[in-house]
Amino acid sequence: MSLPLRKQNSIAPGYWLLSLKSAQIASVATPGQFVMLKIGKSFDPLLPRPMSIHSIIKEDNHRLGFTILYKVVGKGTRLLAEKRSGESLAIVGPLGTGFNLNHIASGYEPIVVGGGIGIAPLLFLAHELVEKGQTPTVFLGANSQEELLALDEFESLRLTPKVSTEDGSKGVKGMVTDLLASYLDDSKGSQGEIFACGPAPMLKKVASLAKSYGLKSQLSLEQRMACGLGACLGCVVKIRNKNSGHSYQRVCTEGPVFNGEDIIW
Amino acid sequence: MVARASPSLSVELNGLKLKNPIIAASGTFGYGLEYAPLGDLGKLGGMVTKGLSMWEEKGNPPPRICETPAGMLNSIGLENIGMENFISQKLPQLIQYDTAIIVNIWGREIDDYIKAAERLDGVNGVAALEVNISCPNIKKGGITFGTDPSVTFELVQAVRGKTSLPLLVKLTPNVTDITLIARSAEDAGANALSLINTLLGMEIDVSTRRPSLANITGGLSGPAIRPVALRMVYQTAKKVNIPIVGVGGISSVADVIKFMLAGASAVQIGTANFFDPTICWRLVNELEEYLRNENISDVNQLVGALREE
Repeated sequence: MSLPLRKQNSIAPGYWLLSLKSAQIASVATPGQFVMLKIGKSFDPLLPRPMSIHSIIKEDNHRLGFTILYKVVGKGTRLLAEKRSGESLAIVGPLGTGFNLNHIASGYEPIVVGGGIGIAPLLFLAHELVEKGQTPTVFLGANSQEELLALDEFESLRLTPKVSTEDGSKGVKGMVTDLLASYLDDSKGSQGEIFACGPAPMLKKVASLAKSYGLKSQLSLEQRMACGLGACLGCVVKIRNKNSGHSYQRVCTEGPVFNGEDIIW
Repeated sequence: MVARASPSLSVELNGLKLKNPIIAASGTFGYGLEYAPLGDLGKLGGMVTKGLSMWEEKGNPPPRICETPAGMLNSIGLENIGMENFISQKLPQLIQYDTAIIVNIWGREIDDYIKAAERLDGVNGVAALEVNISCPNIKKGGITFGTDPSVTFELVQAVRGKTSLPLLVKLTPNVTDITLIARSAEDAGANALSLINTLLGMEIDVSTRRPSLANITGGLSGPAIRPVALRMVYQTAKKVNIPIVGVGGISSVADVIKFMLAGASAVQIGTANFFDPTICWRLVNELEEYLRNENISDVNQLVGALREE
């Protein structure tokens, strides 16, 4: 469907927040799901881009639309950043299997870990967790303070993210997984589950930390996609089978969120 | 003024009747059901399934796709759920739609194709088979079936002997003269020819100095290949007497008309399904609108109607 762009603004150099109006998508979307977004009618870039849903726009408790937080990394995102309010974009969604929150109950600690632009789907997740009466422990990491996105949005949920930057310009100097490791070391025996999104090396580290501390993890993966609908089989990841061996599963359909222990890196 | 009668969109591919000439191409439409939420499959002329083998195929490691100018490369590695799973899990849902379900089959040996044709013969709901002799991704002693006229003949004749279903043979463009392969398939008993499959290509990521696909090479599809496909349809139409289904980069009603003028009796829509997921339905409507505006009563009047003088 063609959706009107409500507004788009840069929230940091190279990072953009796009607001789209669609009660239809907003009313059924769950955290971790994404949309396929076609940037213009041109054949270059040809394919739509998968973009996770960053937050739901609500007015008087009605879900009216959603936002997308993205980083300019190539031709598609560069052209997307030039779009202004009033223009429209061809969107299909919401798509994919997001974070599974069905089993969340009291006495359970959700741990949310985001790295770089990987925080995009985690704000929506944090909202949902807070609505379910949870107080997730949040870890956010980035290259620098400038690229530490949406921190105030997490704070407005009365969450206090633990922060790291690689250059030390904000929070602890180092990787977000180092922060997570020392936290898990100090809080052994916690009944929790890790929800993470970020670059593959970070997610791989999160999966191994979760395993060594006996926690479950749900990781949101990124992969090149053509259709987003489960048809092209282009976006697969290698997943451990229950019994033995492996299979390829689609990031767009079975994912983008997978159990950390199932992923073969 | 009396309202003009609706133009006739139905076509007949030498034993395969279609309500209109718009078919969703193999590998770009899943097993059909993936696109069912977006439109009524019963409005399409037909759909070709993802290529099926007698076994479940895992496919290639990722990355499997890569965008290129006006196109994309893929090396999915023929991943599919296997013939029995298709028949038991997908087909019963698919047959509720009034469209021609064309099952694309492939194998590593001629015997694999024979088994697939035998298995599908007489299965309720299957309108035709499309024999994929042209996939560039799986190596068979380094050569693809569809690059050799005598191997093509042998394969198509073997499949022909095992099924009464209409046979479409999908040809590879990665040959010196596609019309020779086309003639072999015709001589061996193909009802119609689908052309073209993807063009073998490659891309490199300069920042990592690695190939963009895990399989290194892959099949190029999309608008970038359309002129190549159109040329091959044109040349082949002059050399065979069986219907041709044009496929390769079609992404507008003008493209559909071009392929029909060049000699195609029907067309398949492939990569465009990825970037414009409701295109097949729109093309059916736009083709009808075009015929009405041009005062053409039957879509078959376009076939081979290219003006060459």
